Amino acid sequence: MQDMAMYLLDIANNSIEAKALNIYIYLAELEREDRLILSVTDDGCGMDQATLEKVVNPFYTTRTTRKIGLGIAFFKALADACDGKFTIESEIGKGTFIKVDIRRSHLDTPPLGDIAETILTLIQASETIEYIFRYQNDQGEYIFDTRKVKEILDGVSICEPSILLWIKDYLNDGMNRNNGGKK
Amino acid sequence: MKSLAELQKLRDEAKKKIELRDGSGDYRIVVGMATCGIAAGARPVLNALIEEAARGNYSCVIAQTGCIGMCTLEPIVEVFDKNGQKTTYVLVNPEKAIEIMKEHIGNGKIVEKYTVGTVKK
Repeated sequence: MQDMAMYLLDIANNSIEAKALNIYIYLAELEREDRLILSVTDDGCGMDQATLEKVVNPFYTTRTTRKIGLGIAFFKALADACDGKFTIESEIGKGTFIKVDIRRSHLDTPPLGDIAETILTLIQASETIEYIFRYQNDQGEYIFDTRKVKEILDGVSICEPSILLWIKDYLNDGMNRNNGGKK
Repeated sequence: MKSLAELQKLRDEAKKKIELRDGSGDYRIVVGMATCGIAAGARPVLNALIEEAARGNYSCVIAQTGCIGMCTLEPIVEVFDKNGQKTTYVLVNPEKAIEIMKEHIGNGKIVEKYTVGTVKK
């Protein structure tokens, strides 16, 4: 995976697969503390302890099209490579929490990538799922919530192409504003 | 700067467009979005399809799926017509995606050079 946005898309797809209704995404670029944190919390079907121990194994997957599952294995490898910590917690029927907390200035820490395009892609995958995205840096925080957008949409699908493109620009604006204009 | 007022305008435009539409569309476009697809660049492909769909007047639905099973040929885009006939495009990039959208969805012509049958030969 070339950037954090790709990791996010891959990991959040597990939440969609787990039939989550609400997916919380937290991304923090903390310069002062030199941390980069990405976490995904969902209210999907969750996993039992035995499964939880297996998911970091690249040779474990629930799918049938191929015999390997690299998503979570890659995510953990990212933490291992970048002086970071990988956390996964899950409970059957409650949901799953997955997080990496890595050193921002580490040579192997990937760039952020196109976070807005990833969120657009996630929204497009299923219009019934609600996403709450929180972005934080030293300057402050920015929150995007699909429930607020849907209120305005008044029945029009959030997956309409023109709406999706608006969301992408809106997210980019919000994240940039937080960065004092610099990207 | 994007504003919520702008979103209201887009909503009203979308409402008008939807009224003119009949049914869910002539084509169903599916992009493989599992780990293999994502790493190969499926997200920009999906994005290009959405942008083209917003630009033109296409009768289609765009959707995502997991691993299609040919990971080395990702990004993969499948196009289903009204009769359920499937065309599989492989090693797609944003430029090819726009071409497929214009030719296949727009003009009803399969872009043979990007199909799995041609590429795998």
